[in-house]
Amino acid sequence: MSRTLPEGSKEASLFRKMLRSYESKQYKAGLKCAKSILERKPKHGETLAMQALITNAMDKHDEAMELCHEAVKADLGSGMCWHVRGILYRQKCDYDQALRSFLRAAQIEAENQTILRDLSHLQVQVRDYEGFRDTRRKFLELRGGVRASWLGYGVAQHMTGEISGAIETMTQYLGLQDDANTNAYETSEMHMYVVMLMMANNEHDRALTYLNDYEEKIVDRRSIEETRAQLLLNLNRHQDRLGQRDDALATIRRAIDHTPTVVELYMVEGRILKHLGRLDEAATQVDFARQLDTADRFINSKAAKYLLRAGRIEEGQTIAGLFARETRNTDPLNQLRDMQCSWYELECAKAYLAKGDLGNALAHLHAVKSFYKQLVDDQFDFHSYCLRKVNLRAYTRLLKYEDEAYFHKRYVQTAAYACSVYAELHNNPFGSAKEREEQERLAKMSESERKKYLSKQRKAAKKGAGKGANHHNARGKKGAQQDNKNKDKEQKGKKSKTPQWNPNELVQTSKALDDALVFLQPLLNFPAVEGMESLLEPAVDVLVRRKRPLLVIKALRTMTTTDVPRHVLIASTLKLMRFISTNADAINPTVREIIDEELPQLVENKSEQDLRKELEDLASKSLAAFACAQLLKRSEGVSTSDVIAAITDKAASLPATLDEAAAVWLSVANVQDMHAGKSELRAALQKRFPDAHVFTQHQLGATA
Amino acid sequence: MAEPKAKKARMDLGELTPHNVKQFKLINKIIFPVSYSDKFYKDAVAAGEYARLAYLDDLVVGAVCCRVDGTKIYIMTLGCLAPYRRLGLGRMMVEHVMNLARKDKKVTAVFLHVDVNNEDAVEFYKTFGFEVTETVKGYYKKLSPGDAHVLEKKVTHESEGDSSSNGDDDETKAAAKADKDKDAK
Ligand SMILES: CC(C)(COP(=O)(O)OP(=O)(O)OC[C@H]1O[C@@H](n2cnc3c(N)ncnc32)[C@H](O)[C@@H]1OP(=O)(O)O)[C@@H](O)C(=O)NCCC(=O)NCCS
Repeated sequence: MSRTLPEGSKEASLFRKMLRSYESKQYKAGLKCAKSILERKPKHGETLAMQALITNAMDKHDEAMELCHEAVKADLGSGMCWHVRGILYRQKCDYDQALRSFLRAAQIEAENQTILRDLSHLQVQVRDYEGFRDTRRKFLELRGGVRASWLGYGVAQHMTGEISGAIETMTQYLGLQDDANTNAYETSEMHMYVVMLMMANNEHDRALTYLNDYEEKIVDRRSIEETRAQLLLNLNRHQDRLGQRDDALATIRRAIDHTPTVVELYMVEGRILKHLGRLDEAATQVDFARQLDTADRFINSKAAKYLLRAGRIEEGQTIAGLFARETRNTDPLNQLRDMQCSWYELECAKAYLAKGDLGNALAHLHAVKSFYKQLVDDQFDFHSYCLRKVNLRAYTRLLKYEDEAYFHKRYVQTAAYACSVYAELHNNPFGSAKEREEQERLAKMSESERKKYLSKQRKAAKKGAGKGANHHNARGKKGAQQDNKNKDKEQKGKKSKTPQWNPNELVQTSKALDDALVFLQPLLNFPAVEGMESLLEPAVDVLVRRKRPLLVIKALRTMTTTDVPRHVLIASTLKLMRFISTNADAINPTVREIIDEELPQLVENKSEQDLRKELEDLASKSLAAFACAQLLKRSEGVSTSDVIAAITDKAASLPATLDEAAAVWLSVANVQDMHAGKSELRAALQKRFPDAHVFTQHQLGATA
Repeated sequence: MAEPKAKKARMDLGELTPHNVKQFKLINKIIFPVSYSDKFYKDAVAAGEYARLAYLDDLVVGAVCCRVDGTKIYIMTLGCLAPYRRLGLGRMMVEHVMNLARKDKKVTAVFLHVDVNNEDAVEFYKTFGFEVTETVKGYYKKLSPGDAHVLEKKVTHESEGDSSSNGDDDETKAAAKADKDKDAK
């Protein structure tokens, strides 16, 4: 109705007639009414608007638009005029003008549902979600009894990202509705939508519960089961991230019970177990996943990695070997990227380190280094290859890649392990402690015991050497030559060649520091690349002993810019300070000057005394810092057994995560001294982390 | 983010290979109260179309394995994981077997053993027109009582003409072989 025509007047009844004619598509009759009204009331806005609408329906769009402008001008306060304006612009696809008109109309007639509906549709069309939501809310307020009002508002909230709000709206509606009168399919769809919203909101637990609660109402069983399986996986990732590992484990096992053929589920289970330190179980599960799909190379290498981490070296090596042939790539560009083998060698090295077998660890570390060296040496081939093929972009990328080949985190890690092993071997050359130990052991034995023991030792030594032989592929020419000599030792079907590195020789090195430097050489600028945090501390140990104070300064500088714990920076600085004070006379004056200039800047001008105090303070708050401070004392003359006893003393009480405790353990376990009370420390740590597998791997007896 | 309702899951049959045979084992272990020998699995991998995994999208959720037994096809295992039942996967597998049977002129019937207490399975096969032809006492040695129904469905070929199989000989062999298989179960 027109608000500007008095009720009961002739004009009002003509207006009504005009509306009816329009609705029944009797456009001529409609126009006639309009004309009569306008004769009596010229420029009557809402009549002009209706006239515009009818003219438009008769396909005279330009004329209609003119009439509409007249209408709006005549009656700016009329919602109807603005509404018509919006309709005409919408038809012209001028959504901007249409939106303005509808908004204006809705402002004037806030409760007009037709206007609100048109407005909301246009808003969603132009993706004005916020506006859409506001309009749908008004709609819901006006017509709460209608389902579409609820769903519209819920969807609008979803679109604006107010997912919790959307869930509330939907569940509120579902609680109100009368199931008996609703189509089961539609109800099902609404419940599934709620589940989807919960998933989008990362409320996996809630979604799962909801799914269980409303299972009966959901008609599409197939989507229930699929969603449930996903959901379990998501929930699980979430819990794992949050550190709710036991919950995560329970969830993933539920998922496995539900659909035990999904390879990924076991992978996830393995990862959680690993985070819990249960390496052995983790490896078993991931290896099970591998068996479910033995064509999957990714899972295969994961399984190898997990087995190696669990100290199941032989199994891991066999599994890794399954795909070895296929990793040999003949395309040089791809070959470059194909660093499959270096991960394997590094994992082997770690596994041997965890066992305390430094010789085999070194052999694998050398293998990694050789891959990287090969990579750089091979540049010569690529120069001509790429230029011949006019592969310029690839070539320049390659050159850059080569320049930074050694900055790869895997190489940095390798260098870190090499430095810590060699630093230790420099301090306590292999054999020195071992011989002492052996003699003491033999002295305690009876004659027959001694015989048995010695023959066992011989066998073990033989086996160890054989193992090394099988797994250090010599890629170079040298290896290929030696290959012929040792062919009989080779296992059938293995492509591996002779040992390029003999574990026993490596570990008995008489120039441990030089050996370490070979690993360090390409990284002596200590760029702040991934993994560098782990290299800096062992590098300082090597460089201090090697009397290279300027390089130590460089390493310390990088420590201040990377994620190295404060206690490590302090302990390393103290090592350098001690070196300077004990070698004061031997240091070249220029070098001295640089050190005096640089060193204070690295530690905020703190004195040695201040630093010691700070370290002590840190050591009272964390096991990692405490162990670091204790091991520093070892380099200052305190006996190894006293140091380890002190750490053992605090092993139960000082704050430490499992990872930190494992790192402490490894740094102590490979100290070359049998009688230092390592097994007591192990027992203490194991008691603190009863499920963890890392502490039991170390074969203390096999350590030098 | 997955939209649970928007997409319909796809049902499919896939090959059994040495790479995925462990999934087949896992499914059988969960579904059937009897365990099968290594030889059973070795044969299954070599059985071509007679052994198939049932997929729901990318998930393996069921499997079927049968063999030609004289003039009949014998279903050794057919099943799907409990959460995925009544979705039509069983039907898909039975239809696959029936198609194999129809393709092979000398095949006259498809048959199988079912534990008499496994009413679900009996009902399931009956919907496809299988009928109980006999009940064998103590068929499953490890179950008690272990009685089994033999369910069978005749196969009609499109151009039913001169079936050239020399039935007698095959039948005896078939019986002998069925006995052997029973031991494996
Ligand atoms: C028997 C089995 C294979 C059925 O698989 P399924 O995928 O659930 O079957 P389908 O969804 O294809 O069902 C097809 C039809 O069989 C009938 N059916 C299936 N299960 C049934 C049951 N438990 N009761 C009655 N009829 C049933 C229905 O008519 C069904 O059609 P519908 O769902 O449209 O009503 C499954 O229950 C199973 O794996 N059981 C354990 C293994 C087993 O006992 N195998 C048989 C011995 S080899």
